[in-house]
Amino acid sequence: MVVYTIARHINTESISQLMQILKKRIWVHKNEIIDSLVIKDGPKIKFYSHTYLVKERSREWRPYVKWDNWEGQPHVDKFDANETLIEQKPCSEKGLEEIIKLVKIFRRNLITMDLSQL
Amino acid sequence: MLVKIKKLRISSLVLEKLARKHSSMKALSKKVSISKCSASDDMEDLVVWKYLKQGAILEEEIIFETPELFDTLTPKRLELIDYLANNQASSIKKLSEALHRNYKNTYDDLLALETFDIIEFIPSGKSKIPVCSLVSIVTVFED
Repeated sequence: MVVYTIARHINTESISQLMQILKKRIWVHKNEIIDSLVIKDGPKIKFYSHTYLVKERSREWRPYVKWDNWEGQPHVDKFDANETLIEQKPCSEKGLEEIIKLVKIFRRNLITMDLSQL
Repeated sequence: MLVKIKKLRISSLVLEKLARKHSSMKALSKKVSISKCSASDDMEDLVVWKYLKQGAILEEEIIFETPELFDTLTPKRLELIDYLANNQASSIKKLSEALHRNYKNTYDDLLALETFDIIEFIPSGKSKIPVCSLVSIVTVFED
């Protein structure tokens, strides 16, 4: 397979000045993922959203918990089996590394926890 | 151990896909303002759309914190990924012919790779075009 180095001709300093959309899907377990979206303007994070999703009997991914800063307000959302928002609480800003740690430790139990305190 | 897969995303294609899905940014914006955070995909689509329009660079990565991916990456499937990463196939039939493989086995392999977002299908009339936008697969051994 040919491995392209896309950024080979781009100065890394110029990248840090650009706006970047970083989409990541992290497979934590076979049926559990974190979908992350981060918008960076230079070094500054303008928006983030990290969603923990679980694939249960159906083949569709179902969101369990989501941390984001929509409208500049960091908060955490919980969803029920019908993907309906059931709880929204303010919480501190969360980075992806922190979310991966939380998901790996608590997994599906996150839905029953008071996440605003974490 | 981590497996990191980088994908190449062409902004214009992503914008086309968003327009197909939501008709217009204005309509999506209205939908999001009504539903707030309850429709999580819509909110993210709106953010991506807005920043792509402003010229932001889109980078996409799939990270496996679990080694299950290796069950999927058989030599035949890697050959398939390699072919699609460097060539276009107008249909699954054409792809199977190019790889001198049976149609059903090719199709089953594509479905297995689609599960992990390594392959995508673009609808084209009654058929589906298999597309692979992978740039690299990297295994990282960390402490």
